[in-house]
Amino acid sequence: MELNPATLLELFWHSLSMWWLIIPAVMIGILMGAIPGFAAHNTIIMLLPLTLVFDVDLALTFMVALYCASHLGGGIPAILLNIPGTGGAAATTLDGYPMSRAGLAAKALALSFVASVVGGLITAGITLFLLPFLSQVGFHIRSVEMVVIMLFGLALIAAIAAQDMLKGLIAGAFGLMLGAMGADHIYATPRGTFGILELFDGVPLVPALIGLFAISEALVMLERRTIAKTNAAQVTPTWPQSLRNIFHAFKHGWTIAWSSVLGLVIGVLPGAGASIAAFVAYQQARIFSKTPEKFGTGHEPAIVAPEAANNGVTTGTLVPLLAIGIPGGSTAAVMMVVLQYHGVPFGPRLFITEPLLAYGVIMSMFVAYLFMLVTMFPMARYLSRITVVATYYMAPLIVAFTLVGAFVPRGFMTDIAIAVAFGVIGYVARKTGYHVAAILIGVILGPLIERSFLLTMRIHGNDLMALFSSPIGNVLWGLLALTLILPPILHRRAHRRGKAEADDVY
Amino acid sequence: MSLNDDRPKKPVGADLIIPVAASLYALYYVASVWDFPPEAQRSGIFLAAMLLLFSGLFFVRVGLMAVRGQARWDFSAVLGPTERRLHRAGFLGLIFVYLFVVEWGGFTLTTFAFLFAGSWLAGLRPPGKAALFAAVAALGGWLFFVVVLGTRFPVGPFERLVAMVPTPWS
Amino acid sequence: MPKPIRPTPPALPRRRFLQSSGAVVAGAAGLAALAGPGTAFGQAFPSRNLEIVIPTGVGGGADRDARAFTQVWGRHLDTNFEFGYYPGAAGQVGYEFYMNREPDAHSVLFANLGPEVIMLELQDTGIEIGRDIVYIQQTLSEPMAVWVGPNSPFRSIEHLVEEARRRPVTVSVSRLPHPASIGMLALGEELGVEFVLVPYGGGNPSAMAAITLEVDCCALPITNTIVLDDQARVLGVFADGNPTPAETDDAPTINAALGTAIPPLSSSRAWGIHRAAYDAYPERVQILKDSMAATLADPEYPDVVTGTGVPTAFIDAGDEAVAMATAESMRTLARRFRTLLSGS
Repeated sequence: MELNPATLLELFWHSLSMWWLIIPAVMIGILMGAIPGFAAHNTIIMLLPLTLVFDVDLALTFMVALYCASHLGGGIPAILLNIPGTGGAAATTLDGYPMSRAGLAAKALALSFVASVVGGLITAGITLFLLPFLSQVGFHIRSVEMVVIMLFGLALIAAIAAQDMLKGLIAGAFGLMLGAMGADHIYATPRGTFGILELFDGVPLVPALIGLFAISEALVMLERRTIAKTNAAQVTPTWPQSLRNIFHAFKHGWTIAWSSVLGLVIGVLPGAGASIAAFVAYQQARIFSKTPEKFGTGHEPAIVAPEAANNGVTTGTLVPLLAIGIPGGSTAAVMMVVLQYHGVPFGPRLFITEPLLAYGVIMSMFVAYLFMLVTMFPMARYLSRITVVATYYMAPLIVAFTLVGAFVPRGFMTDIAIAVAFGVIGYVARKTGYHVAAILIGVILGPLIERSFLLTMRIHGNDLMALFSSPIGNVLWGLLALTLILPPILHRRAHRRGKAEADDVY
Repeated sequence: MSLNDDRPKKPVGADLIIPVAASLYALYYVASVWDFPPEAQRSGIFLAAMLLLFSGLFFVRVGLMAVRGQARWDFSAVLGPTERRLHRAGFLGLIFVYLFVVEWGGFTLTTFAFLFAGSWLAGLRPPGKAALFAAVAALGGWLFFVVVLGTRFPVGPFERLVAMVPTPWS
Repeated sequence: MPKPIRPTPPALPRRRFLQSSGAVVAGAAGLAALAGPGTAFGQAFPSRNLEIVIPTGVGGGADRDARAFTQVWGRHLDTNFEFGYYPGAAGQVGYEFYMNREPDAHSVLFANLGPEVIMLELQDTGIEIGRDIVYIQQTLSEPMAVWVGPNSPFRSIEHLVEEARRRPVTVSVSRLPHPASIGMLALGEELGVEFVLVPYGGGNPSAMAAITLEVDCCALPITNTIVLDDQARVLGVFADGNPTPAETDDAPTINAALGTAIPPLSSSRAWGIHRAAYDAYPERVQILKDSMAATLADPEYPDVVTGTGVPTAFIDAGDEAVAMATAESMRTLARRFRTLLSGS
C-alpha cells in the first residue's frame, strides 16, 4: 500500500469514525495515567478481556488511544502533587511542582498538555511516513550506544544536585546501588535482596516511585495547610486565561519538537523507555538553555521537554512491533497478544496482509492526540484547584490510594511494604537535602546500564575499549563529555563577564 | 572570641542518616555477592565502592566541621517543624499499622479506618466530618479499585459481607 | 458456612472474555460483576476461578501457549481462568510465588520444562521437582534452533561453525539456564570452537539482537523463528529430525549437518501442581488431568494452536509419567553443564 494523500485521508477518516471508542479510551487513559501504578500497560492488561471481544482494529485503536492518553495523564499528578503517575513523568516533577507551589499549576498543566499533544502529533506523523527508516535505528544503536545514552540520563543527577554536589552524588549512587538489587543479568542469581522473594527481580519501579514521591510528599505535605500558597480563585484561571496559557505554551515549539523526536528515537530502541527519554530530554533542554540555572525552580522548558519526550516514546515503542514483529515494550507486548489472539500476523507481514490495520494503528494515535487537544482546555482550567484542597484531605487520600497503585502491577502485598520503605527513605532524603529524583534516576537507570554494559562486555570479550568501538557511540561519548564539561565553563565565563560588567558600571 | 564562635553552627546529624544507611546497604550488598561469579559481582562492587567513597567524603566533611566547631548535633531537621510534630509522627505510625491490618481488614474497612484516623491526625475537625470524608472516600475507592477495576486487594469483612448480599443482577 | 460462589457462563462467551488476565488482571472478574453476570452454586471442584501462574512475562511464549490451551480447556472444565505473570530470576520468582499459593488444586503452574527445570537444578531455591511440585500434563514440545536474521552473512550452520573456528562467535540466548544455551555449549565442546552466550533476558530481545546483527546468531526454541517468519533464517535444529521443515527453511538437524552427537534439546510446556495438593486432593487432580487430556484430544485445539502461529507438529501430549521424565532428562543435562551455566 502506498501512502498517497488519498490513502492518508482514507486512514484518517477511518480512525476518526472510531471516535466513539477513542474518546472513552482517552478519558480512561488520562484518568488511569494520573493514578500511580495504573499506567498504560497495567490498564490495558486489565481491560484485555474487553478488548479481545472487539474486532482487532477496534481493539488496537482502543489500546493505542488509551496508551497515548495515559502518558498525558501521568504528568498531571507530577505537576499538581509532586507524584509522577509513571516513571516517564518523574522528570516533570522537577519543575512542574515548584510552579504549582507558586500558584502557577494551571500554567504548568497547559505547558504539559500542549507538549504532550504536540509531541504526540509530531511523532505519530513522522512514524507514519518514516516507519521503515525508524525501524533501522536498532541496527545502529546497540548495547554500546545504549550505555552512553543512559549515561546522558545519569548526568542529570549532577545537574539536579548542583546545590550540594556531594549530597547529590550520594543520592544518585544510593539509587544506583538499590537498582543493582535483584537477579544478575547473566546467571540470574539474586543479589542484595535480604532474601525477599519480591525483590529477586530487582526493585519494583512503581512501589519505589510511589514511596519516594507520593508517600514522602504526603508526609511533608502535612507541614502545610495547602500545596499552593494561594486561594482557589487565584489558582483557577478564567477561560480566556486558560486559552492564553495554552497558546503561550506553543512558544516552546522548538523544544517540544526536538524533545519529542528524541523520545521517538529512544522509544524505538529495545530496552529503553519513557523514563530514560524524559530524563535525557530534560538534561538536553537544560544544556541548550540560556538560563540553565532556572531549571529545577519551575522553569517552563523543563516541563515541556520531558512531557514531549515521553509522548514521543509512545509511538516509538510500537515501531519494533510493526516493523520487525518484536514488541519494544510492555504495552506493545500486550498488543501482540491481541494480534495473536485474532490470528493476525505482525511485523513486516502486517503491512503486506493488513496495511490498513498497520498504518491505521499509527493514524489512530494521531487522531487520539487530536481528541486530547479538546479535552485539555477544561482540564487545564479546573485541575489546578487540587493544589488548594486542604492537606488534611489530600495527604491521607494520597497514601491510601497510591498504596493500592503500589500493589496493582504485580499483586504482591510486599510491594506495599516496599513502597512504605521507600517512602521513609524519600521523606528522610527530602528533609535532609538529598534529592529524591536523584535516587529514582539511579534506581531506574542502574539496572539498565548494567545490562547494556554486561552485554557489551560479553559480546566484545570483556574488552573495555569496546565501549569506544562504534562511530555513533564515540560521537555520543563526545557529546556526553561536552554536556558535562561545557556548562560549568560557560557558567563561570558568564559569571566573570557579569562581574566585569558590574565592575565597569561602578 | 574566635571567628568560629561568631558563625552560626550548622546542624548536622540528620543528614548523616542517608549516607550511613546507604553505606550499610553497600556493605551488605558486597557481602551478598562475595562468592558470585565476577560478572554478577562487578557492577555492584563498583557501585558500592563509589557510594562508600562519596559517603566517606561526606563523613570527613562533617568531621572537619565538628573539629572546627562549626557543627552542632541536631536531628530535628528530619522531624520537621515543632508544631503538630506528634500528629505527623502518628500519621507515619498509622501507615505502618495499615500495612499490618490491611491483610485481614481488607481494602474498604482498613482504608476507612486509615482515612478517618489519618485525616483527624492531620487536623480535620470535627470527627464527624472526618468520618464522613473517610466513609465516602473508602466506598468510592472500593467501587473504583475493587468493583470496577477488580484489583485483587485483600478481602476483608466488608467485601465478604457484600459478596453474600444477593444483588438484583445475581 | 456459605457455599462458594461461582459465576455461571453468561450469554456472552464470558469464558473467553475472562480467560485473559494478568497479575493485575483479575480485574476481569470485577468488570464482569458490573456487567451483570449471574452467580450459581456449583460443583465441588473447581469451586472458584482457576488461577494460572506463569513464571514469565506477559506476551511471551508461555503466555501464548497457555492462552491457546485455556481457550479450549474452558469447554472441559467449568470454570474461569485468571492469569498471573510472575517473571524474574529465570523463573524462580514464579515458582516461589506459586509455592506460596494455597495448595488446593485451584492454582496451577504453566511450566516450561526446559529453562525452569534447569534453573531449579542450578539455583538454591529449595524447590524440588517431585517433592514439591508435580508436572501432571505435558502439552507442547519444541526443539531448540540456531538461526540468524535476514541480513546475516551466515548462510548455513557449517558457515557459522567455520567462522567459529576463526574467532569466538556470539550467540544471543534468552538466558544461560536454558536448553538452547546447553545446545550451543555442547556444540562448542564437541567441535572445539567457542560460542559466547549472550543472555538478553527474554526471547524478544534475543531475537532483536540477532536481527539487528548485534550478535552473530541466536539460539531459541524454534517457534520463535516460525513466528518471526522471514525475519529469521534457521540454520540448524537440536533434534533428531526437523519437525517443521516447511516453516523453518528446511533447516537440517545440527547432528546431521555437523556429524555431532548432541542429545535432542527441547522445551516442553507442562502443567504443574503443588505436591501437597496432589496428595491431599487426588480427586481434584484427577478432574484437572482428565479435562487437560480432553482438551488435548479436542479437535479444536490444533486449530487454536495454529492460530497462534505454532505448528501443530509441536503438540506433544504426555501424561504425568511423560512430563516427569522430560523434566528428569533436563535435570541430567543441567548437571552436566553446571559449571558453564552457573559460572561457579
